Amino acid sequence: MRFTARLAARASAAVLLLSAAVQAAEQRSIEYLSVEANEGGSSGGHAALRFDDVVYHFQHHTPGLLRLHREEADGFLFTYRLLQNRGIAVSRIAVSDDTYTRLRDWFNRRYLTEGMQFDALDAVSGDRALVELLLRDSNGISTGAPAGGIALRGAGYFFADGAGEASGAESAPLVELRRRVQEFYGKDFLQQRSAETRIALTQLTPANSGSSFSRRYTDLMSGLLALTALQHALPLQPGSFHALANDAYLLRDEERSALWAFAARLADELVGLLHSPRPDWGYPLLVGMARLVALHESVRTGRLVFLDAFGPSAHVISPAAWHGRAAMMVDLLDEAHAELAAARARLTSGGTLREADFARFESASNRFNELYRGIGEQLDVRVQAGLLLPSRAARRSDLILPVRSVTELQQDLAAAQARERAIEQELHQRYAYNLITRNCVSEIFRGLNGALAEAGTGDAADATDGRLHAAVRAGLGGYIEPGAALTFIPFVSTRAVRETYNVTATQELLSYRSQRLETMYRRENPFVVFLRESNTLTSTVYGPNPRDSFFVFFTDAVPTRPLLGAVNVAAGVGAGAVGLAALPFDGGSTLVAGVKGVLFSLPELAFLNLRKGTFDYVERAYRPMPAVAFPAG
Amino acid sequence: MTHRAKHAVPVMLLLTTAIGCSFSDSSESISKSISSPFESSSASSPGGTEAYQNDVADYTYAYVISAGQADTFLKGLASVAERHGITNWEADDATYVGIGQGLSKAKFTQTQVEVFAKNVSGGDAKKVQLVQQGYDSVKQK
Repeated sequence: MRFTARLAARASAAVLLLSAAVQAAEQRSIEYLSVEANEGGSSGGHAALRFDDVVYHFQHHTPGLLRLHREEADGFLFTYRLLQNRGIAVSRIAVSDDTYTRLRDWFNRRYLTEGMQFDALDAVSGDRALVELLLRDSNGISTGAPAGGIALRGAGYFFADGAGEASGAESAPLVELRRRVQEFYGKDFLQQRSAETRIALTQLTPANSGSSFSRRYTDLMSGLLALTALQHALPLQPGSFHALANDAYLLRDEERSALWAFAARLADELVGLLHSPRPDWGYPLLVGMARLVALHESVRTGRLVFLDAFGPSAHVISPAAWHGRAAMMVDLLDEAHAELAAARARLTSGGTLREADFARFESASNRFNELYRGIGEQLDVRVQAGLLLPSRAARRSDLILPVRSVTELQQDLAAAQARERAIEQELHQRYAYNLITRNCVSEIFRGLNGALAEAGTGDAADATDGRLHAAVRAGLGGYIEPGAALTFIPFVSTRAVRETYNVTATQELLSYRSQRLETMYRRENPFVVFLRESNTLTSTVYGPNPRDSFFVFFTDAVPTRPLLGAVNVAAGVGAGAVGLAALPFDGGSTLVAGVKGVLFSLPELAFLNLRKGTFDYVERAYRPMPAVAFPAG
Repeated sequence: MTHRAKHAVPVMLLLTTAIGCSFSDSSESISKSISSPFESSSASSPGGTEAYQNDVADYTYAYVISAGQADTFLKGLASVAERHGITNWEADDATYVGIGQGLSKAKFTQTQVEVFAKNVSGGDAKKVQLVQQGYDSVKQK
């Protein structure tokens, strides 16, 4: 039954996809997405702009900044529609090829420019932190290494935290790489380069380190460690790689050949890296050498050996956290296996294997292995969003420190602090969040207007009102003033978009729970479904999510909302009272859930629903095919 | 405006006043962190090389019009590449083609392109040629 339904859903999705493809061939379009309110991070709703498979949206960041985010469209829908259980109103806006390109380029450049500007703040904050560290650990002249050491990305594959080098037999692939480097650059090249790097480190000052003192410092230190690893052909650190007996990791002959060819090319590229103009050559050299060792071991043993690629941002989930949720873990394992199989197929699909392809394979291997071992052996499981790129750091204390007097360091600190404050102020001025004039909706309209004004005048700042409005009308069919006439509210903005722009199609995407209920109403007795799914106690779709407020009845699709809302208010008050008593034991979580429950139930008394419940997991079987998310046209 | 919508506006106003737009939340759901079913696919999806090249072009354009320091360009380029699963961006031809495309969009002159290409490639003739190829590909459109 379920299989048939899924088959039908896929067929329907294929038809929609085909329909979307035909439409795309006829006319370009962008989509305005308006996300329903729910409790959580965007109680007033949210908005986004979709360009094919990429979505841009503005999010509110502490402290009061509004920043542009870029996500894959499926990822955005997965988060907002499924996990956050929000309906999404889609408005498809017809645009010319030229307008499409201008708008996409504008948002992408804004995204990248913002990234550069905030990166400059990170860099100067790093400078300040490094100088503080040097000052704290210096007595007169900064000759003592910072007590805690400094984390150097990529060094963890060859070095442990602390000082000194790994002992053990030389690594054969690195012995061979060292021979090639000596043959290409000269016998003493590595020693000379190391000596030069040491001198550069001791002579480093904020004035001679380019845009960032701290980054230049860590680049040089990473380079020095990479040279040391190569000079001594160090073996991989225990725990920094995975070599497993599991037959799932047995390599077929053609896979071994593909990995061997990739390793040969990698070795050539690593020789080239030692002549690179990039200042941060140490990190890719460390990772490349570690991968080279793992690849040789894979080919030698016929079993996949891969680097551990989980980074410092990984969360650790203990077995207690998933206790009783075996189905979810199996589903996740199946998904990780499918991702690994797809990445593995790419190894032998013909053509040159790019580093990005190998990285995907490495990432998928890590994710699958982490789940497989965690579930099988009841171990902690590390989780990390996005592509896993090897970055294992070593916190080293045997550092070559810049020779700076305390007076110089104090001057360096004052300069870094002043620069940090100046950049913070500039960013705050440029990207300050404002509820009405600069929020997630108004900034999208401002972006659309700015991009098209540039097209009309060459510079948005030079455009007169009349020319700006004309340029925007020409591109989108109409002009919307950011923040005007309540359009800063997401659901009001949908109406404005549909009434103003060249909207050729609309679609209301149901939230995850509504979508599940719709299916249930079709297949089961509607009355039974209504009774069972109307509340959090007997619902088969919704399970208590610790991030949600306390409530009993769902009120997003019932005419008796005020009545049920009153019950929810009473339940929230009750939970708050229990939470008060439980305060010493649960850290106030029940109290907070109760108070939030009351707050989010109050609008229900006035027939309005905000809270819909959220999910921390959605099984793959219930995730819509990506094509379903496109308007049907 | 419907009767319901009329009620909705003041309540939404209150709520947006209290909380506003989507707030960036660093905590991840279990499934998103473990499986990242969508975020992880971008590195090598069929359009992977093109997507990377476009990002490099846009980044280059954004950089040159902001007139930053040379080392920040290379650092930023490394960040762009890492988002696409690439640590050694010098070994990927798409990097240089993308740089050329970005310079063309920024309306660099031929002489400016040659200087930029020489600096970013360390004088490597093949890489200079790839930058030129990217520059010409946009100019011809």
